[in-house]
Amino acid sequence: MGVMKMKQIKIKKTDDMLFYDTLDNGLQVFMVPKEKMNTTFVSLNVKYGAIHNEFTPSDDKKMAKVPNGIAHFLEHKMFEQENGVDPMMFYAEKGADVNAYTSLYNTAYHFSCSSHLNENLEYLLDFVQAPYFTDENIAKEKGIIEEEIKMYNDDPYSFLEEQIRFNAFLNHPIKYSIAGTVRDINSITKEHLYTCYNTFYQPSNMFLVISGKFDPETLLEVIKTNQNKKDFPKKGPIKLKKITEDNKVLKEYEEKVMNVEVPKISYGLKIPLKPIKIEPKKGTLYLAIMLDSLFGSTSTFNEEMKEKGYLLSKILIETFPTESHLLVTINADTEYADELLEAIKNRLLDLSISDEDFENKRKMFISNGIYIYEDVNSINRNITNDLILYNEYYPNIDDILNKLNKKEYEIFKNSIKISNTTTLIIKPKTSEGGYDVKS
Amino acid sequence: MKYQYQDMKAYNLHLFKTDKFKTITIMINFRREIKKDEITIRSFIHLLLLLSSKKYQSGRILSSEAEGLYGPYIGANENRVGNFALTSFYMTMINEKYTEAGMNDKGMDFFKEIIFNPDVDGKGFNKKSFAIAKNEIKAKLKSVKDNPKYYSMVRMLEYMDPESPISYQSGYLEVLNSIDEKKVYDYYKSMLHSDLVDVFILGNIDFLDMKKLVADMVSINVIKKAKKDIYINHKNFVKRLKKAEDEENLSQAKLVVGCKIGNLTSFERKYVLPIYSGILGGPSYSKLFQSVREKNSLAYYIYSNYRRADNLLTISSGINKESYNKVLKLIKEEFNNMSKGNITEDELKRAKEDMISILQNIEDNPLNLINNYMWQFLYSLDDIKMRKDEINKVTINDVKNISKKIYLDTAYLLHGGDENETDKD
Repeated sequence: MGVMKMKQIKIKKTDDMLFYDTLDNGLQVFMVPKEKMNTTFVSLNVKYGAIHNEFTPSDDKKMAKVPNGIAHFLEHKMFEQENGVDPMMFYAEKGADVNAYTSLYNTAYHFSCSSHLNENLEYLLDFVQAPYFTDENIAKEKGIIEEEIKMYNDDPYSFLEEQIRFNAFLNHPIKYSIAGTVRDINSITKEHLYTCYNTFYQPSNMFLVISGKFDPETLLEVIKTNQNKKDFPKKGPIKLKKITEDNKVLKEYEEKVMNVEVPKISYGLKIPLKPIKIEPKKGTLYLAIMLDSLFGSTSTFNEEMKEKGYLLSKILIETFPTESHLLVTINADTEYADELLEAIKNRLLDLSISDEDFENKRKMFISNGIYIYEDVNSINRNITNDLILYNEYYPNIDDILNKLNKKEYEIFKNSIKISNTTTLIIKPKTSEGGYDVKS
Repeated sequence: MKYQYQDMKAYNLHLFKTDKFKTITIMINFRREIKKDEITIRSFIHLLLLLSSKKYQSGRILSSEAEGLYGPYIGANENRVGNFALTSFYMTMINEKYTEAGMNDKGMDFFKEIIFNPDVDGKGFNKKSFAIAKNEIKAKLKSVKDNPKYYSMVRMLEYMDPESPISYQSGYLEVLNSIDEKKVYDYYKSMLHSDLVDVFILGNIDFLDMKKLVADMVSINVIKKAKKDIYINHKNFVKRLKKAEDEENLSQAKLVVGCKIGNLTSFERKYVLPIYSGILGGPSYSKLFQSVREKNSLAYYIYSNYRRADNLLTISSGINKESYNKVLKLIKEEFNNMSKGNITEDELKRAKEDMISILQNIEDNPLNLINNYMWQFLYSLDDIKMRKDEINKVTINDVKNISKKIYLDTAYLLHGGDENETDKD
């Protein structure tokens, strides 16, 4: 021991250390020890999500298309082990809380624990690196996932989020629901699952993030020993289908009647990325400063809309990047859908922001870094998000924030083209059988 | 961590010193016995105070001021806890050691302005802020049905006992128009005057400094004592399970089963019932999850919840309407297994480990920790260290015996009628 030294970076704002390394098999490891905490949060992430449904399988030369919702189905099925041991039970006995999620961009398996860390960590690597799919265990999962899909179907907010993506994109698989439809999942076979697993669940397409109470060098040794025991067949780089996506949206306007009492709107901006010549992380920060200044709680827009009674909730803004476009969605609860949408459109005509807003938002982002490092879970999520979106982690975000300036903001602002938009309104059913937005 | 508690007569002061966090968290609670006709007016307070204050006369100005203070997280909520209405205000700010000198005082002063120097002109709250709060409350009350999971719980509790506080809602639309900015201000003054007040501060703080600061902040000088017990005690226990249902436009039916809990000993309430709930309907290891989801693929989620102050145990699940009888039968089977003591040592161990790990997690987050101390105080729980020890004393027999005090009361189904397939393509 003591020979090997991991690479490390000091997180200046909080005096924490980030340790990182890449193993021989390509698995990347990121660690942030927090000595005073009780618990450790571990996530094993695969750079494979709902949008990766057309690719060249690792044992083939031709492009293949798999059913939508398969990454999520696969995530469920990783909890099936050949020896019959349920990973959920294994962790329950160790007092560890295990779970997994699938997003548009990635799949993550994670646990948090306050004891048996080495064992728990090894087991995470073991169960995610040992697929066991049978016709029976796949049939069983279909009923469970069908109920999961129906649960989301009844939730107007998840409908809003999914449908606006569907209406914004023509070809890109980001338009589909993460879980797929009931029809999609009924077409999934164990062969599909093995194809996806073998293609994407390679160590070089995965990374491990550990934050909390542990010793980095000891833990790295545990990981290395575990990985050295396993054989990973050499595979070429993953080939995803190149998707050409037009600037146009599929549907510019849709109204949907649902079982809601308060109407909801979503306004989607499909922004082409090509004209934006700023590096992605910086661009994200400029965009966040922009949107927060225009629509956030310090904006005159927010104040006016609330005073007029047009806005019944906070404005919720989300972003969905693809290779070629960025979809920005602006969601809200309102009894005045038309008036609010008109106001949002007007506000977007001029993306200028004041110097004061610019400085205040920057200050906010700097302090946000300290809040993130207060909590092992949010440290973990912060690292994971950066790696998924930018393929690298920015531990000292202040360095970038300090370089942001109004002049560059102007350049960024002028490269944002808002000419392709899509509008979605969810309306309640009225008792008369007609539809009325203003009740 | 060092803890200091002091009864200041007008309020209880709880101070926690720890160097674990780079933030300081403060929480102020107001509570009184809940009255159905006060709920709606009371729900204005936590919204209004955060919308504007005398010094910062709009939400925009108030938010800008917060940004200048390195963006403290400020929040407020209004809840019913057993027989009490509880209004909480909290703030987490970065300790000035990590920003700039003087920030701690400025942050505390900001918090004080928000809660104790409201935006009042003449006799009532600012009209603009009042209108905004009223709109938000109206929308929230109207949209109860937009969240079927929550709505099904509300309905089940109404069927269970329409008279008891357990079925009180978070407000009532029909009284909303009778409330104006003056009445809300009068209510606010009555809260300061007669609500029980608790102040919690956690961080790398100096006890003496904080005591002075709070004395200056909370300018209340009325002596108060709790009259009512927080726990709701049920009087009527049914012999046969009641069934109720409603139809809404849903693709997934929501099943909620409610049980009343009889007289528990302090040990049972603190330790045995939570473990009972864990074994029956906790996370993936539980009997219900294994039976309904894993073995029979009938649901994506099923879990039980111990509502401590309400003396209730509830079970929630999302299912196919057609599976209703089957799922209900499986639930009853697991209740039977609990009362027969068909519980393995492994099941007991998993439930215990789960509870201990939740406690470990609580200690790693300042807001969770401060909330924990609030519950500890309200429910007279043991401290975290003692809880970790006491949990391990619970036996299978304890869990089995408590079954006698759990009465299946109401099974409620919210469903979409027959043939309701809304799969989206």
